[in-house]
Amino acid sequence: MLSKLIRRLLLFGVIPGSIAIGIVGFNDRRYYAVALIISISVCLIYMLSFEEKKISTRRIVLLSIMIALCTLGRFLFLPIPGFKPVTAIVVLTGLYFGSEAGLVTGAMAALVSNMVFGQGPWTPFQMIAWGLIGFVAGGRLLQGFLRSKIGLTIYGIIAGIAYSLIMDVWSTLALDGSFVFARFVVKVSTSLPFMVIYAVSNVVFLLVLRKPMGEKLSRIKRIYNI
Amino acid sequence: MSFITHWHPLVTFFFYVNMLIISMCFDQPIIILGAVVGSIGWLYFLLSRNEWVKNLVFYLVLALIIMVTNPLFSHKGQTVLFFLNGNAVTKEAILYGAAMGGKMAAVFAYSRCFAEVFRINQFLYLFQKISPKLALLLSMALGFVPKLKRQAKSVSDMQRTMGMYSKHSYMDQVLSKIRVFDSLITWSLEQGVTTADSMNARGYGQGRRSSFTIYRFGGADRVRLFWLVVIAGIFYVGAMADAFAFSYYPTIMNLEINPRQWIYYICFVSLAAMPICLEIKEKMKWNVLQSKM
Repeated sequence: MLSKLIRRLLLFGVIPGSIAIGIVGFNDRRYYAVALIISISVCLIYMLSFEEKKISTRRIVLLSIMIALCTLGRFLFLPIPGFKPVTAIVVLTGLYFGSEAGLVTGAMAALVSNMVFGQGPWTPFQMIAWGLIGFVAGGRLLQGFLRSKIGLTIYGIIAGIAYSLIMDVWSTLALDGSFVFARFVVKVSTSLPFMVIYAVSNVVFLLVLRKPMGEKLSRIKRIYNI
Repeated sequence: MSFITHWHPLVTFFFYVNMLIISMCFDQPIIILGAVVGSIGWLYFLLSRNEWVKNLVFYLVLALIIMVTNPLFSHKGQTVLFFLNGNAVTKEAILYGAAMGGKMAAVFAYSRCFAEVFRINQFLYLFQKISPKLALLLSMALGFVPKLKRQAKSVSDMQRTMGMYSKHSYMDQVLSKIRVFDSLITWSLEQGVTTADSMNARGYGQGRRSSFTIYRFGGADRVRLFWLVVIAGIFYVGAMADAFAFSYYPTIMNLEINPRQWIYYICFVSLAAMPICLEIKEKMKWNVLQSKM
């Protein structure tokens, strides 16, 4: 009731309000603040609605394990910048446990691993980026496509590029407070090596983990009826 | 260990959010300077000398890069210093870049400060308020991280005794890493199901969920929150009244403070300087106590 009220308030009050104030009050220049408020509100709305969802205990525990695996993966590959198995684990979770699970794992993996690596204004953007990647991977239409090797490779590349672009939007906004397209182009071109590393690491981890992890996840799903 | 760690999580979080908003949203040089000095000064008390210097260098480089690159994207401003590839490099653009760099450094430094003073269980406390189910998910995930680490080590030790590791080939090492991860997944999933069944058997999910916290919103916290709300409130009133309006383009505005606006600046300074003052006070108290012994 209170949670529903807060959610409504965020969705119909805070989000349009911040856009309106951004346009009217600050001559449409406060893109950064507005984008930050919107992304935090989106995360909050989802978190509040999480409480009312019917999720079995087994599912909650399994999701927390996937989140822990993501965090551990990010930690183990600390010496190689950008080369992380997080996206791969999130994609596989989405693929085998559905969209919802992919979304939760992606978003919470960002939140939990940032407790180790440092929280900041970038956290909500990371949460949204990974959450979306996991959510799309669980989509009904993509199931057949993503079970094949080629499909998974293509999705890994797309996910790497998308993640890099979303984080580039964040850093462009953070640098300037407003969105200068020339700066965004330069930012994208300077982070191109990272984009390649993201895409390559996604593909490598997806192809390596696809068989062992896929088998285990589908087995546990079948046996324990999760 | 900082004194702020003992504050109630809500109060600490309120302070963090306010300082982030202030350091992100205002272009006025005094505000930016205050935020930079306040955050980096506070960080001085939280980190070791070495680490503090390292952080400081990082922030300086960051701010410098932004300052130098801003004129490449922005050719607004009236005071042209020189031309680069036919584009004007203006004094305003450079100074605006410096201001942006300062804001960015303050945001990073405040985030670092709060990473130091905000414990993970305080974080979980906040999530409990949003959704107990989500807090459970988060705390279990955090609990599984060291468990998985320990299990990974014991699996790899076991495999080494079985002679699976051969130090000679790189491929073999990679393969054994994968083998460890493989068994780790099986183990953790089985473990998870057992945990879940055990939770169910003990009645998880039956009726209303309560959660344990050791944080009490005591009298001191009430005073702190009240104080923060009042001074932050006065500051935002000033912001609404355009006390901190400032523009860099086309020419840099003159920095003049209306005498009636002093109150807003005092509020801002007391906000930014508060953690530093409290840290110094705490240090002095400690020294006095030690000298008495």
